[in-house]
Amino acid sequence: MKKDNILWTLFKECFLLSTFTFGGGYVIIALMKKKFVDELHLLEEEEILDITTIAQSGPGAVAVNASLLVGYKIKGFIGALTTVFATILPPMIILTTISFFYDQFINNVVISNILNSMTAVVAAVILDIVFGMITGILKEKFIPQYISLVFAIIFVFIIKLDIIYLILMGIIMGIIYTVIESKRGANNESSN
Amino acid sequence: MNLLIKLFANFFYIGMLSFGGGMSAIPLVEKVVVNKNAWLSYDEFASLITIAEMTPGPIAVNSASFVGVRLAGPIGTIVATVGVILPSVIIVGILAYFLFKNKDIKMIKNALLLLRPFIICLILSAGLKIFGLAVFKENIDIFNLLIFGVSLILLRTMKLSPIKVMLIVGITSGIIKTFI
Repeated sequence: MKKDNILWTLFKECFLLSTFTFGGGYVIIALMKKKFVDELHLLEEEEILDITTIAQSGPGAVAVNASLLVGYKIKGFIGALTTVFATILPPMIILTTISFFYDQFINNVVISNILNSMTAVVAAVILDIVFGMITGILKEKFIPQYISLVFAIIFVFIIKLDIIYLILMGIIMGIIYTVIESKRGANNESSN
Repeated sequence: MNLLIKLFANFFYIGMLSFGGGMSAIPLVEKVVVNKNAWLSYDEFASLITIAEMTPGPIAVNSASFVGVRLAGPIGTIVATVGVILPSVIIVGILAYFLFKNKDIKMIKNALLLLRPFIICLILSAGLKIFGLAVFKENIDIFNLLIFGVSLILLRTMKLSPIKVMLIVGITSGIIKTFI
């Protein structure tokens, strides 16, 4: 492959992935692996694993983060700009178009009924995902996470703290735990 | 101009705090777009989340595009979308710079484990809000409650993908609703 074609390849692949991927960030990462590792051989399998972890660690949409990292790994800063642009372009176009029709559509009885029914489905989708995530936590049997869950329930539902403080609280608990854990690890090593 | 700056700042805030995947943007969009700025009504918010779920693309980006264009046209879309992705571009860029070198990813992964329950509870509270919008109107909307129940069963037991359930159940019941 010629070198100046790489940017175009990155743009094209990310644009297509972003346009046709329903089902959120994790699906897109699986498809990115197929494309960039198995088909185009631009990335190693292990690199995609790192990319997945980092993409989940940062804030923001996993799909945007992952495409940023893919672009960065393959073609540095310019590559990252290209892939991010290619990833956000389809949703921008689609949502702008929908918004244009929204006002006309929402007054249509059938469409507003469908949208209204879909809201009930969306509620089910969200609660189903939450249910899956809570089951995941309970299965992991990781005591610090249980404690964090109790705190989260109290501060979200009873005290109703503002989101920014809740996020900060979660991050601080995570940092404290990490520090304790790494100290314990260091102690274990020195006592051995 | 003022509005554009406000759009940018508010979506920057959403982008900065939405840790833990797509759904985590929902409570933030609710807070910023509905409660704080009254850019959308609660009903429009419910439509937005429904549309964002139905279309490809991350919820945060979809929300930014939708709200941006409604408030300030195509320029608004660009401003809001750039605002919402900029924090993650900066932070993930920095993380990538260090982590690809050090490979000490496990530490951050651990820290995130304890943040996750907070995210889950926030998503749950937004989910309950949307459930309320769909089911509790002046009276209890029995039909929507039924749709909710059927969808939950399809998702849980038959493991159908959300988009399929939305299309099948949403369109069928929307049409039924129109003709009864």
